[in-house]
Amino acid sequence: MEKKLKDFIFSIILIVVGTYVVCEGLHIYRTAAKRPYNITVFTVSPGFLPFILGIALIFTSVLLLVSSFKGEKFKEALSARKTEFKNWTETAFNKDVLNMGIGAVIMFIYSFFLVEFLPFWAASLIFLIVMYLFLKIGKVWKAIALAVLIVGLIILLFKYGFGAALPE
Amino acid sequence: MQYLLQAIATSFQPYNILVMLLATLSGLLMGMLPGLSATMAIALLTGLTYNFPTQTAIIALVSVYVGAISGGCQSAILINIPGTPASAATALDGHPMAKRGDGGLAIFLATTSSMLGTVISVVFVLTLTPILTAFALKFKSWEFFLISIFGIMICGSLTSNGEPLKGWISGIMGLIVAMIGLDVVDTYPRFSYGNVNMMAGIQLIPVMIGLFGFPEIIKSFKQNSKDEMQKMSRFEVGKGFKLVGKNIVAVIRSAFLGVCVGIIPGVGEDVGGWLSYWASKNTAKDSERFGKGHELGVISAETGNNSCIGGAIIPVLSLAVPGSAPAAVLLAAFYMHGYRPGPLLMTETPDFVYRIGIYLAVSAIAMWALALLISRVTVKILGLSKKILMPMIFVLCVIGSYLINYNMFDVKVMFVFGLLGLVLSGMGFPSSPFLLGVIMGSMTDQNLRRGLRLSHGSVVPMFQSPICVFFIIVILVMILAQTGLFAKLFAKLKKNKV
Repeated sequence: MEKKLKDFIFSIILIVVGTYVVCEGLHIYRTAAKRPYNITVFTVSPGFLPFILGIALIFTSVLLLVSSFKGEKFKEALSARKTEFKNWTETAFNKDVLNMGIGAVIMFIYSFFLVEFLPFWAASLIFLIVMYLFLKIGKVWKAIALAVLIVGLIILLFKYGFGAALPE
Repeated sequence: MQYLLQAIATSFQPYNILVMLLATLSGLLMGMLPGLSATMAIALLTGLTYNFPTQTAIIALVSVYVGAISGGCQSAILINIPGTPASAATALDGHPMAKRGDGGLAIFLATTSSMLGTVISVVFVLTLTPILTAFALKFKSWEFFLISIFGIMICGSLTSNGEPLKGWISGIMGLIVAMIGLDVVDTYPRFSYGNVNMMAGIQLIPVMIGLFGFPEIIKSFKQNSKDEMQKMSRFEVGKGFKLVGKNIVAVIRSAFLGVCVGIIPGVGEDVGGWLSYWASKNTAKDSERFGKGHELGVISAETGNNSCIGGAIIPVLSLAVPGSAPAAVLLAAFYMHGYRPGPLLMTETPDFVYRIGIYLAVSAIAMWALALLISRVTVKILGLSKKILMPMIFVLCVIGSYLINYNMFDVKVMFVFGLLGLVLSGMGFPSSPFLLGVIMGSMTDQNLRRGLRLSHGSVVPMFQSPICVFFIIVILVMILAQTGLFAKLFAKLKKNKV
């Protein structure tokens, strides 16, 4: 992705986030003014710093947005970003990105489901075998052997070496 | 003296020696492997040391820091890929040395200089920290608020590759994340959405592991480095010692520069290495040999980057402001193990500074011995495929996050911040200011609101303290200089004169 396009897209996202933080800051101020907190002065309210940070985020993001237009007129810049975005979508989903995406999904399943519902050794064994097969490190037996070795070493080190309780 | 003796006695307990050797070895291996930074090494180990006795944990963390910064030189010399950014300058002369068959000598020089750099920096830690801490006792709420803002801004400026705006945005985002949970003054639940886990706030360690570990793991799924590894020759210990002795002035100069660079918040070991290399090159009579395998290049770069460790720890201990990204992680680890670095450190736990100094020196010596003893075996790790290593590291990331509170929520937090770290790195935003924002968030909020509460909501007292005025001016100058407004102003003035 072109640098200007990156800055353009991310600054817009950050402006939205900043606006949300500002609104939430005001909301915190309003609710903290009621019982049981009764904090009626805005500057000492728990919503004050989030409000200031939201404003700062919007301000700096606007500066970033403006810098992504540097040297171009507004309309020209917009159409240039549009074209850049179109070009990017055509080339973005290459094999590398796909690999990273699949890898991230496997890691997501491991962190959010496998470790949560299975004993640590089983979850990690499944994760490592699947990951090694996906990354094509060699034959299936090699992936299994490596996964067993790693999980065994980790359990030995943490459970018996450090006395840590691993997820059950 | 009593504290120093206590620290030495603690360091030499058999269990602590074993942990120190293991942690140094892990640091060396992590530092050696391109893509695994010192920050990640400390972040990973912090979670794992949760169950350790406090002193053992601190020894492990300091040792892994020293090991990781030093380990980077081996891959820089043998495969021309610095294991950590700190060793980037080492590759310039180290790799040509390895190419001409002096790989062993280059590694010996780099390891010895690393050890000397760290040991010299300890002198500065022991002398400067109490002075800075005494000065920091003059700090009140407004001063602490401004120093946290200053720390985040300078970190943002210096880690953003010439785009300070991105560094500052990253810092602001970190501060916003720190707002999640019960606020420290009125216990009001902010950004918690009724979730009990969120009310407890976002834990630092999962954020750290996610920000620094996750992107490297994901990126390894696409990278395919097939760099040729140079053979490692004999160490030539005698020749190595002679060369270090001959260049002792450069060693001391590089150590001094490294400490100075380390003290500045946010400036990492890489800058220390580069600055020392540059200084040696500029003062050398045979400067044309630099970049072609000059031994002094390796010595200067490695002394400079390792002495940054001590330098970066000085503001951590005295002001609770980290001097570099790994030091930021170390600060969080100190908090986790019950220490409160900052102005009250010398009053509450005066032994801590001396303990850190001794642990640094002993781990540097352990690193030197270990690196030379087993480097013939450990360099073989460089041949390991990232595809084998990274999934294993992710399992360690999960354990590291889980062990903080024995809570699966922290594992999910690590994953979410990992994705955020990936996006940030893809968009060209540095992660260090983000982390610093998360670390400083509580201090910023607490001191701002305490100051405002004492002055009934007025900001006027902030402009009445000389220290505050100094920080305000420095922050303003930084904004004007970094955004190019100064340059524009000068250009206009020049034009008007003409």
